[in-house]
Amino acid sequence: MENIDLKMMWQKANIQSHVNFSKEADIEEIIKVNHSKNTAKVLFDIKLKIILYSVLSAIDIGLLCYALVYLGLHLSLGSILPLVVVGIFSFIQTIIEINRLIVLTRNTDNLSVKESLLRFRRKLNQMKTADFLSYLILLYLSAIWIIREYIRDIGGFQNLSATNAMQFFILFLILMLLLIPWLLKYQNNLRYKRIDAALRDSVNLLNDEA
Amino acid sequence: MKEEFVGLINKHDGILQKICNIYFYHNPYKEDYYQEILIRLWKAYPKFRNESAFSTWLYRVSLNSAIDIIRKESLQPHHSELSRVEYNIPESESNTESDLKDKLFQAINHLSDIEKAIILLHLEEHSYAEIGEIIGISEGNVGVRISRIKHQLIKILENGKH
Repeated sequence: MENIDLKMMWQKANIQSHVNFSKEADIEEIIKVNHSKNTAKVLFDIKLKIILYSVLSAIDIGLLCYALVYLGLHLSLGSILPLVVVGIFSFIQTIIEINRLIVLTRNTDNLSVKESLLRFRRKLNQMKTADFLSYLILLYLSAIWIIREYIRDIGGFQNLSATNAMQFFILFLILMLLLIPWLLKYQNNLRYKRIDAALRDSVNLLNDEA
Repeated sequence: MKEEFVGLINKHDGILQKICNIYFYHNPYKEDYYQEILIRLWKAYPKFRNESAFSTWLYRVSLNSAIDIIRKESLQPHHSELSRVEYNIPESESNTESDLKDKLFQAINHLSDIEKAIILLHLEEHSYAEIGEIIGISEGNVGVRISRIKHQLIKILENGKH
């Protein structure tokens, strides 16, 4: 009885909602493009960000190479730190946006719904891991590099002093660099909480044979 | 190939509309998502090898596309689900026939994306074997799922609660 009612409701609902989205002749026009307007805009924004961050990274690396390698300048840590921070930030952002573009553009529509779901989850996890690792490696390397440069700037370990205010600032900066990846991981878990839960529920539903 | 594809889509356009209604009911971007699914069908069409009926292939690709669009939407940095007010969904509880459609689609909206796919295929009179093939689960599991989803839907329709 329940089955009949639902099917009847379904049939009635579809008779009422049978509205043509596009005229028949429009189908050919629609499939001429790669994506619908909304999707195309999202992808364009990501590509634009990739270009901007890549250009910024290239300019940054170029300036550093020009000053340190070509001109052979011995600059203090404080003078090149802003440039290094901008470089690291733009490089990380480039990687993140490329990963996002890969996830958004790769489709597995010809597979079964379950297989498609599993592949998407795998890709999403890869993207999250790549994001986390890129932050982890770059920020830890930066922390090590800052420690090395600072020790060199003050003339060795013997000159470390508890009364030096700059030293506390550097220590704070290093701690921040070491903690940022873990903070980002926490923030990422919050950001992807809904989609992770939805994917987990879907996988459980499809795996549960009971 | 293009003429053949357009002809087949015209013949089965109702399937696309039903999938859009199930996944994007009252969504302001429904037309845009319809177009995106159509484009993805066209891109996937060269891989269609007549091993199954065109409609079975159409269901599989369209359902995957619709579910994928929803997943990828939630990956956007400023994504948030629109409220009933933003979607302009009426709160009407009357029993007129036009409200029946709203009640059914709102009840279906409580289901997960996979459950929506299963119940759609069931309501469209597909066999358990076909549903199993499209979703990628065993026939036994399809039977269990359909029974639970139907029970859940009837409960929502009767009580107006999840």
